[in-house]
Amino acid sequence: MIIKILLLAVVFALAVSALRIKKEVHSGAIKKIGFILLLFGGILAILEPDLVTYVANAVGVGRGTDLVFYIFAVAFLFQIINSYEGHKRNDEKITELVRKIALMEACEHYKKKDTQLNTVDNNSN
Amino acid sequence: MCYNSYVGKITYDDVAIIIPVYCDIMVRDVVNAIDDKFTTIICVNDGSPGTDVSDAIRSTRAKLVEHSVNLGQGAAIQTGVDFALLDENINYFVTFDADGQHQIKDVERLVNRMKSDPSLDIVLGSRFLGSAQNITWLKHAMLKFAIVFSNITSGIRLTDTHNGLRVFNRKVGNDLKIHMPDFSHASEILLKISSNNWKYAEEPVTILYSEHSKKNGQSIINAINIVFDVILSKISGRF
Repeated sequence: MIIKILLLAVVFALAVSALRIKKEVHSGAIKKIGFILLLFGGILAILEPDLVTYVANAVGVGRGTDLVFYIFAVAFLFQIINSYEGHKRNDEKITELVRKIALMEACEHYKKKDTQLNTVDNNSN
Repeated sequence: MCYNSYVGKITYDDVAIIIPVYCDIMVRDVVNAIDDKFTTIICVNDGSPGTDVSDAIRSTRAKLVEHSVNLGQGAAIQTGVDFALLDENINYFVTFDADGQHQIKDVERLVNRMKSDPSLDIVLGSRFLGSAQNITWLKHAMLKFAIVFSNITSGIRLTDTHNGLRVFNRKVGNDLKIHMPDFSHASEILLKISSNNWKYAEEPVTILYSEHSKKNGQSIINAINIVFDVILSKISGRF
């Protein structure tokens, strides 16, 4: 039953930390470490399948394959959250750009209008 | 009420009315119905397809700011506020709907309240202190639920938490920085009132539900989105 505790702990930690870590640099570093660990874990599992079975049994999972599946399920969940956060960040950047353009164009238009009116006034004087 | 003695001396040159527009062609009539004493009207065309909406706005005395793509009503309001802030003479910012739901005399009432009580930072319109004409039972029920949810999450008790008609001062305008998507800005403003300790008040207003606005109003989908956005922002600690 250790696996249940482990999985729940990981899922909660992922959810909260993914939302709380605002600095892209920090969350990026953690994700990179996580990716390297997953990579090494994968290579190890391919070279020593018995090791996977051993670890699985140690945490209360029947088959090695099941353990691999659980790990991938959690990794997938993390990827969904990650993706959503990434899209939100991009949306915010786009909003900044569109707003900047909108304000620049409006200021340009109304400054021109003001100077046109002033020229007309000057000419009619 | 004591503030009525100020009414004769109140001017509206330092008030900017900000109107977010998306496919609301009737904004032309709405703007033309606004009294001349409101000298600054800013319409933000939030990426409406085609040129109809922009043309309609340009045919009025309102100033036009255009988003090249649709960003959502909250973003349109923020752009309008940023544009209004550029004019140092503007001290008060009004958010007003483009579809004719709001009444201009309510704008006057809200502004008068702000001006006669300098301790206030923001005054919010409430249809449940005033009246909501032709409202459907479904919308009424959903709004009541939204109000309870909002009062719980924001920590502020209001009678109407999703009213687009509000006035605020420069202090609020400078710190507003709306970033929640679509229609969640109403909830975001309440969260900010709470976290920034802005002094707020409610005034009764009249909301007119017409055939057009019945379709356009916040649907159940928007409600789900707003609940999600608010809960997400509370967990992540940023709003």
